[in-house]
Amino acid sequence: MDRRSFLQIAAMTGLAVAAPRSARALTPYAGPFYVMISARGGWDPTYLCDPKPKGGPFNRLYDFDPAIDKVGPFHFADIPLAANLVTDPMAMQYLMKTGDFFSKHVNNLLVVNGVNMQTNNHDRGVTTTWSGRGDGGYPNFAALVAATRAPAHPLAFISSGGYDGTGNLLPVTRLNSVTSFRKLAEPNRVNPADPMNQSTYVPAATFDRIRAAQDARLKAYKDAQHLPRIADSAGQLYVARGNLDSLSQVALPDTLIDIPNELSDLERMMQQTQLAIAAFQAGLAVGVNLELGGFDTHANHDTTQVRQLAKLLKGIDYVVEQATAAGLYGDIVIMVGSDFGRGKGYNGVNPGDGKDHWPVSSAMFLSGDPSLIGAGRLVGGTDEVDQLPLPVDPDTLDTLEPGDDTGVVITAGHIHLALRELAGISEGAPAQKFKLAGEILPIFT
Amino acid sequence: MMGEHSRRNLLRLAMSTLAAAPLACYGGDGTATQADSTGASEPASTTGDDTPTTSAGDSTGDSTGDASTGEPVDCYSTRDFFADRVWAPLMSSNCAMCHEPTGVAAEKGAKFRLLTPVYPGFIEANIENIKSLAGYEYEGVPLLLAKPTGLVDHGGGVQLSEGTQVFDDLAELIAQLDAPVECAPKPPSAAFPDVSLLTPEETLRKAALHLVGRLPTADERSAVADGGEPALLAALDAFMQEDAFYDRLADIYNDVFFTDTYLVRDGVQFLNAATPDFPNVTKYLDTMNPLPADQKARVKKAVAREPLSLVQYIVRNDLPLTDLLLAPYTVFTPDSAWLYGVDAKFDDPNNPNELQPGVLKVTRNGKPIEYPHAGVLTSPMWLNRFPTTPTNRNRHRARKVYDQFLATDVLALASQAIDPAAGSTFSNPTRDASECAKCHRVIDPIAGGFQMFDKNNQEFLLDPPVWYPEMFAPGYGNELMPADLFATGVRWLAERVAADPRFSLATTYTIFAALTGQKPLRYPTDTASPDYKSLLAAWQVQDELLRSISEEFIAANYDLKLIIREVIRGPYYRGIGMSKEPSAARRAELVAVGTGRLSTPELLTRKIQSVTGVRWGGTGTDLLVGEYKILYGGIDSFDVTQRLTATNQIMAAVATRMAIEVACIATAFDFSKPMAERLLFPLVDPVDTPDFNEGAIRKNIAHLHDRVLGEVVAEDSPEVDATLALFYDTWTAGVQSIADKTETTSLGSCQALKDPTTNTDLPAERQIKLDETYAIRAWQAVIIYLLSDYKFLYE
Repeated sequence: MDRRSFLQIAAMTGLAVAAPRSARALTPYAGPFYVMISARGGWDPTYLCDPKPKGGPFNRLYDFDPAIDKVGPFHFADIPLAANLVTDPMAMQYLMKTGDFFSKHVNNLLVVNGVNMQTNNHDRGVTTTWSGRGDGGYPNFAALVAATRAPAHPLAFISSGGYDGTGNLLPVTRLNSVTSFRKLAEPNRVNPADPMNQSTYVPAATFDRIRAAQDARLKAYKDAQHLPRIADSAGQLYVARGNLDSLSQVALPDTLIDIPNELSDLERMMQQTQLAIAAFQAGLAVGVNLELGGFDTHANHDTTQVRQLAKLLKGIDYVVEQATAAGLYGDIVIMVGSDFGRGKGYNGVNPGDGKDHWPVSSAMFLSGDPSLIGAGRLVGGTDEVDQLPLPVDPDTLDTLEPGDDTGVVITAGHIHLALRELAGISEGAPAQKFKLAGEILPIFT
Repeated sequence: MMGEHSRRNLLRLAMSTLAAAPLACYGGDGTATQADSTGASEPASTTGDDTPTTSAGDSTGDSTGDASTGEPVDCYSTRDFFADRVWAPLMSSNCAMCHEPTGVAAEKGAKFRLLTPVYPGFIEANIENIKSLAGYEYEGVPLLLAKPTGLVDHGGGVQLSEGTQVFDDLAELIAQLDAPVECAPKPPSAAFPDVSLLTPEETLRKAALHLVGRLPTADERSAVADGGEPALLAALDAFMQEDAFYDRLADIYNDVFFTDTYLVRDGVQFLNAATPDFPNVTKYLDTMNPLPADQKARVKKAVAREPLSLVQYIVRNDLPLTDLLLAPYTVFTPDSAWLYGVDAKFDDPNNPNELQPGVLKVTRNGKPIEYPHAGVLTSPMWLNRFPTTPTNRNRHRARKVYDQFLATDVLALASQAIDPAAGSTFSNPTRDASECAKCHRVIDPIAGGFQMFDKNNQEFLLDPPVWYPEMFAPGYGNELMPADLFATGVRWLAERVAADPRFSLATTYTIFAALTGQKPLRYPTDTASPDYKSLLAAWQVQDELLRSISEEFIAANYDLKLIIREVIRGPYYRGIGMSKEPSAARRAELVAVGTGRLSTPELLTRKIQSVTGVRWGGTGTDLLVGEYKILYGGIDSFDVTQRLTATNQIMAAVATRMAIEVACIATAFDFSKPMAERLLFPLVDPVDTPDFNEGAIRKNIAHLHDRVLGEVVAEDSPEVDATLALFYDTWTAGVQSIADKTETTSLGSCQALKDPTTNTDLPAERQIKLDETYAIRAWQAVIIYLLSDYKFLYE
């Protein structure tokens, strides 16, 4: 199969092609990489990065002194982590206090508060947060970048949860096991887990011969086929087989992290992080979705929301640690968000009561290269009365008084427009196919 | 500026002109099916320059006849006229914004109501509503014209101008509604004359694999080859009597209910153990005196599978599928009956698969009360899978009722984003803030149908039920639920859902998606899209077919098997090719037509076993529904509920490893059998080589193409030539390798020492360890090649 054939088939299947088919010719993608971390269920920014005074309608749990609970430009909810948040004492080390997180990452962090998500609905919220539009069909931002930068790379967009819509720009890939991945990276090897055993099911020459015959047959079939659905799916299979050899370039960890069972959700997120970083290192992936659920705290808010946020912060910290260890953090942009916020206020007076959905949220961004995202800044805010978003000056992003018509209330659409600019993909064909309305705010500059 | 008097006169004139004009396509009885080709003042085609349906016209711009239908239109129905000429250019944008169920006009009680494409069947419903208002006039002018033109007060202001095409079209629509034009239904294939379909025999193979996970027998093939379509239908009916079909049915409905998550997560642990409702839950959970492991496994499975077992029971007993909502019982196995303390009678209490109906017993305040069984809506597992909270108040379940049984995405109801500040000024925003109320008005009444269930303990029955006066009252549509029925109101709700035409459509959609691997097309709303007309045409043709099937389903007393038969008969399931490349417009129209569906992990698992006689995974868990399930695009029914339908590189790698490992297991093993029992190699010996017996090899290759790929090819066909070339090259290279001592004669890890279906040793005389001629390994290469072929992975 020549490159021209590949391009024709890729174009026919709707893929934008930026790389040749041959594994030997595949140019490793060198970054930037994008990590989308979804706090699924609707987090409470007032318990995290948009703290409110204790005793008011939004905070009955923690003391907040704006002069003390602050690192750099960031105020944070300094919530003590009670020992009974976990049952296994060994689990405590996998919870991270808000203050510790902000102190550690202050120079690499950008926080956007007062984001009007325009919905209280989980599905619509997730879609909005990760694509910039709530009515479905638009691609996750990481998928959009992947489709623009490296659509033919085998693991261009990896998703382990959250909103993984791709707008049919490229296929989404799921990873969940080192053992399985090794078998798939070397499908002809009998036991890839055993470095001493290099035996294969069929000789390499036979394997190559079979693949050549497959390619020839698939192309002949595709060329004779005009019905769009069949031609498209045949093209997808052809493209998917294109760079299979490159999977073996992924240097997987020997084992995935193992933490106490009660933190299985965090363990899953951390393991997915390990796989994603390995895929980034191999130059085969552009973006990844990570997810931690359990934030839909209509009840037991002061326990469950606190526990999940502490896990989330540890999970983010783990992404940073892994990326740093791999020497990639400077080329990584992390976005952390949720379906929407919670509030306003509590839904009952009892300690076991919770907070309901509230369409005002926050987003956090991190990068090892602070200049990439304009780190060390706080953008936007909410008022103290109704937890409503404050408008910002569209040029300076200074927070304005409620109701100031000269300002702009930040939405997910604004964030995604700015993200597209940040990634340099606004004018690319995928972004043009999925346009977003609105003005570009200098969120990352 | 034109005065009111003059405007009224012009409008009257317009109406009288239209009334006098001969209307297209109908005769005196108002049910015409033939166009008046001589006097019709309207386009005779729905695919003229401005109209986009596929019922006719050449959308290709190709004079050679690569057309939407390739034949002229003979009838233009009032329905199509409304969709093309009134809804698309006018009402979908200018009117629906306020007159949709959650809009301002609806809130103010306007009788003119328009459903949006969120609601299946919206076109028919809108025509009915317009018809009901067509008689209202203002000084001789239909109110439907007088209002939007501003002749009379209209809250939405002037939306329509006289003298425009759309004005004339609306006027004509009103006139037509006195005697609507109805066109005789056409077979779905009429819309796709340029698409070739699978033959009855080919369809038989695909349906057999899809419905019962096996290849058709020789007798079945022969019967269909001789009997054609009628024989195919008979074969489908026979398939739907087999046990395997009911396994498939459970898979299909798990993609709706996702309750199989409890096979892993143990649904019993979610049941209330703190009450005596289900007396043996505590015994099941007792770790000090554990149940025998096999009993516990049976109980766990039976409890988890209860919603899907109900579907199986209904269909197996030829009951109307409305029982999915109306059944005053649910079904139990002996094991789940024990757990729940249900008095059900079993023919064989030791048969863990026997299903019998029964009712749950609940005691409150010392008295037995009725468990308000309403099919799956009251299933303990369904209730837990779609849980509620004290503040969610069953809205999640209401959304699922819309989604699963009414084909309605309530998330799409809100046409505009909510404004958080708007709700802040109300103490009860879900009812009092219009932005919030527009959706809650639709959702909350249905949520009220579940009020008898506790808001924390999902299946725990409350006596009395608890509801919230600040919410919209329990009800359905415009009907309020009588307060004296609140305790069993979920039944009241179920009756209305089951009677709603959308229930039959939702069921049709479910089966269509399961069999074709794609959801029904969505009505295109982006009129600025360059593909709009083609996409609309594609939607209209498919919508017509699905509505037709759903009506037949109702007429057949909700026989689910009818839907399966009709979808399988249709072009969306059977389209297989076109003679030439379609134009861009035609391509968009055909987007959903035809085969080319990636097999799910479950379907491919059954296919592997059926075709090769072995399982990938030996006697353990099949690897495609175990280790590789998520990687191959499957679902776990909890974290991952969306199947992947486009192959990615990891999936391609899974398919490659599957082909290699299955070929390794199956090739020598098949040769170890007596020739007459072989599935893969019934026509060759393991020592046959091309230099001595090419003829037999060709015959067997043709057999493999048929068996593995469903491809009937001649022994001298290019397909067989290509496969033989692979065999030959592998064989010659292998023979040389043996001579060069770079390979041995041993089959290595692919020897036939055990029966892979039982993991028991083969008799010594059947064992195959060596491959001295290298022919077995050449066949192994052929099997890898075929098992990783597009036609094996896709259906």
